Amino acid sequence: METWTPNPRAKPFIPRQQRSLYLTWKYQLTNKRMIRRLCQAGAVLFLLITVVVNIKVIMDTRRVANEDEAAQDYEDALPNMETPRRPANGRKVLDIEVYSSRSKVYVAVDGTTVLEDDMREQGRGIHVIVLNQATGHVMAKRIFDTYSPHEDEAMILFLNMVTRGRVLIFTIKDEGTFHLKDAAKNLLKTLGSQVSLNLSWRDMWTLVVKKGGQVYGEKHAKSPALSTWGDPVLLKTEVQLTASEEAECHWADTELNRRRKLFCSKVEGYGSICSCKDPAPIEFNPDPLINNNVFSVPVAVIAGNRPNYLYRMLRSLLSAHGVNPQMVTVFIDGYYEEPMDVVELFGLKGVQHTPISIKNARVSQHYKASLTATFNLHPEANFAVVLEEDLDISIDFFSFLSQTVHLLDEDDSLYCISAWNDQGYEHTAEDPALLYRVESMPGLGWVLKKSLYKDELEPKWPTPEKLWDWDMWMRMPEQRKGRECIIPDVSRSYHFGIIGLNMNGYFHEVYFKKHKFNTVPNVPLKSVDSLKKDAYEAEIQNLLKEAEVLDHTRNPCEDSFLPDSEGKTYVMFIKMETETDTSTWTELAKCLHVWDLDVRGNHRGLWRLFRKRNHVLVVAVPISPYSAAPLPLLTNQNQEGAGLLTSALWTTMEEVKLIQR
Amino acid sequence: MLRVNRTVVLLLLIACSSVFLLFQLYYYRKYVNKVSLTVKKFLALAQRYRLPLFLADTAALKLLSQDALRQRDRLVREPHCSFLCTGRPITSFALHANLWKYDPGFLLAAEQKGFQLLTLTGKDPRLASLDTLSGEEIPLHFLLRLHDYIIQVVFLYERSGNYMWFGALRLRADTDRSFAPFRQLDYGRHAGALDRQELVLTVLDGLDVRVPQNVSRFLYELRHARFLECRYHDARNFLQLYPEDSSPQSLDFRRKVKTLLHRVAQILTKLDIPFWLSSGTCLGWFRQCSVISYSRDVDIGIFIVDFRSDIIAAFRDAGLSLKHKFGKVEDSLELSFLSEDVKLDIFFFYEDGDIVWNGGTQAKSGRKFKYVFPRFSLCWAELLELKVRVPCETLDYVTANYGATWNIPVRSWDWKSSPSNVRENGVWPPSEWAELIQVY
Repeated sequence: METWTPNPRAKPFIPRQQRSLYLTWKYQLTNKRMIRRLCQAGAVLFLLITVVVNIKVIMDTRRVANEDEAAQDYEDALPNMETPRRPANGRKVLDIEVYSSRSKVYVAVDGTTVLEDDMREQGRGIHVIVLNQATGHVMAKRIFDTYSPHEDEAMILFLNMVTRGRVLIFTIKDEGTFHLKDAAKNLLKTLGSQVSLNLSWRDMWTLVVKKGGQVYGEKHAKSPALSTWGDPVLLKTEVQLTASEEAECHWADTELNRRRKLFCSKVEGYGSICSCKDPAPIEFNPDPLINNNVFSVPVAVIAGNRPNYLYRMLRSLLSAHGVNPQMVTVFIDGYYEEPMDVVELFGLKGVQHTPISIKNARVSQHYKASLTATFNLHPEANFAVVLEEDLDISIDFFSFLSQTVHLLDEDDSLYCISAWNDQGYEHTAEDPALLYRVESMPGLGWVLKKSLYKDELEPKWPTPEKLWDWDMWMRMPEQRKGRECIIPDVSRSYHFGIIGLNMNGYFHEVYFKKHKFNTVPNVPLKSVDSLKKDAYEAEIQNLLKEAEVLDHTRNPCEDSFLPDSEGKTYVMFIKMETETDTSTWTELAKCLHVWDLDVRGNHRGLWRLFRKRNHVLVVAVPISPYSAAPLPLLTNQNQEGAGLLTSALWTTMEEVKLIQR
Repeated sequence: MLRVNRTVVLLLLIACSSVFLLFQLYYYRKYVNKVSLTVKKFLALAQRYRLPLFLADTAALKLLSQDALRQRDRLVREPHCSFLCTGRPITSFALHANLWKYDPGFLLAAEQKGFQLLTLTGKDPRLASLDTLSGEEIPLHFLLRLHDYIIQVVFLYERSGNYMWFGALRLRADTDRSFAPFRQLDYGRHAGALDRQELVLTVLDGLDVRVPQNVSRFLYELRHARFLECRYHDARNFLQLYPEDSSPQSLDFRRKVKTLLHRVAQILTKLDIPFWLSSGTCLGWFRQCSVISYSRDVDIGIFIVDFRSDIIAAFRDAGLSLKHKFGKVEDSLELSFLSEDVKLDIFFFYEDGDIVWNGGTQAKSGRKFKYVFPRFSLCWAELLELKVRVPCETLDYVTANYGATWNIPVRSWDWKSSPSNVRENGVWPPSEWAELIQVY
């Protein structure tokens, strides 16, 4: 028998395909070498992973670093325009040249002309320049036309405001002594002038002096005869600069004082704002309003180069109850520095505008640019308050607007809300709670509705070549379309500007100086909703019903035209055949000393004003629809004496009776 | 012997890399802590100074958007910092500039808390207009850095076209280039325009933050937010040479165009169809920042891929009557509507390789024309107080259409021969005219 002995060393036969995975695993596990292999492979894999991860981390970091270098996308495309600062050289002396003559003045500091005026018929009087005694910078430039009256008073005021230690430069162009009174001459003498008391008609004169300090030079050329001028004088002198510490005050280091310090190192003539001991405040923190509806209404202040006006204006604005300085933007027509300094002093937003066109058109273009920018800056606003730099703002200005602004939304027949009553003079305005509707557009502190501006005014605003006044344009029937403005009886703004495009001292004195200005805070306005179109008509009818007809036989210019009563309502009638027949009103306006240059402040041929504390309604006959209003019966009166005024202009008692029927 | 050595080496290596990995893990934890600490610190500050902020970080918001949230359920991430730790060293927030009174106290306080600051300012775009106005620069971005972690605050300014604008981030010559990884910032490469966002207050990683209500919408908008300011300077020069016509007719035309454009934008936005200013309307924006008063129509472009059959009905419902319809969806589609007496032309654009074209059809002869443009992307711009798209490569687009002399007004314009990119494109087969040339 053949026996088969298996080879003991042979592996047991298991068909490879049938071997289960489990078994393979089990078999391999039992094999130590395999384990070691596996561990090795695992470790290598693990190492590889760590290496890869780390390489990735490194790559990432590298990439970030590269990106940093390659961040050119973020480079500012414009080169840095900052001019290199001039090294502070050791020079401590300023060379100053001052020239005075009939037709030309100039001042040069270290060779730089800081004033040059050789225009004909301009710049007459005493030119004053203030220099910073530490830096030599021009801090103020003024002209006082002391040929004309009162200008010397302004000069005294200005010189008194200048801080001690500043360098003052004076020079006369043409004539500067005709109305230079002794008070001014004495002040010049105390400043150090040797010749001020002898200054006379058509003398030429220059002076460089440190306020409260030494005189650097003075030259004077006497006029030989009335008809001729003194010889031109040229003064050359040197001024020793002082250390900057001496020129500065030591205010506490606050945000406000930093602004103050910057301002005071640049400009002069703002009085106590720069006083070292007791500086005037630049932050006012007026009371907020309860329910302020105009808190988020943008305020646009339209300004030119009248920084002192702007300063006065902003002070009153920022003191008004309920003001929100965040919303105030000052638009300056031109790249003037000083107005911008004033704006920054108060921490407000200032925008400068490149002037377009000339005269009225320039103002008009500036208005347009400013209004457009205002609504761009505040896209969410439906209104804008428009102010000018020569206005005082009443303490209850925002309270007045807050109470009335909803009318613009609710009444389509309204054009604007204005703080100004053209006829509101000291003697013709009485009741701060009373409002009117008027057909004219008074401006001077007013609210503009965005939709009116965007949909109607902006697209057809007069183009630069049209030399129109923007306000006259806005008053034109094509724009106003019969809409009216709400105004208060007592104005919430006061126009103090004397210098201006359409303004001079005389004009201001006659038409603006005696304007009534509200100083009472938080005046609650009377029945605001009765200012809406229909309600107002009813209101007028009621007034007419209760009104007593004045005695038309008396002279309306005389005080006795009104009875010595108080708080009563009277009505009077004037003749006005057509819209353009304004002669009677003008006549009356003249003797009432109200605005008489054109017809303003009327509502459908009706003017409302106060006289001797009585409310007077002036009705134009027959043009006013109120001519036909039911009136109380007149008592029998003597009509013979009618007409201290031309009876042709005056509505006679006969007609008054006719109206009543 | 050798074998033992190898094992030891291997073991050593394993030990090293384990330590290394542990270190990395630790570092990651620290990073996580750092991120949430930095963001927390910043948010506390922001709250104290009442910054009207919302989270605007693309990476973080992506984690918040709907699809991501669904996926997250399966992914277990770091529980303390699952949203804000995005792996990037930056978190960006947006700030409603109009709602915040600029307070330098905030920056001072941030500095005291150890943040390093970089404030980037720029020109106020709201003053940019045909008038030359200049104001103080406005802040556009704050970058706050703490332990190499950056928080970007981008200022959103409300503009008159009812949108929020943010500025490009541009470094001055003297700024530190290594302050932040500028390339990784979400905001600043270009200026951008976004719609006003509805915000919701939420808690992310234990911090109270406001986020856009519709996150995916916001992210979509952000991807297409690039904004082009009109070139007012050049427009002023142009208008100096060729003053604007201010006759009542052209004023009236401009008013009508404004109404029409606003209405078109409303309709197409509702349908979610992007459109851009084309032809004369685009030229008007580009050349004079307004409407060419003698152009007599409004032209817009739409990519044919965005065509929807309900466009015509939507325009009709809005009171615009269909004037003509030329071509078909596959070829040279063009729609014209009439509103008051202003014509609205809608040109559909076809993409073809590296060019884009739209078609024209002469009604009486059935001749076809093709207007060829180089490829372009779309940017936002503002025209007539409306946020509207224009080709980003506007100059190329306008030059293609009007030639190099686009800045010289041409009053007599023939749409078949005047454009410099017009090509003859055959004739429609007369049998299809009834379908392809519809004039109402």
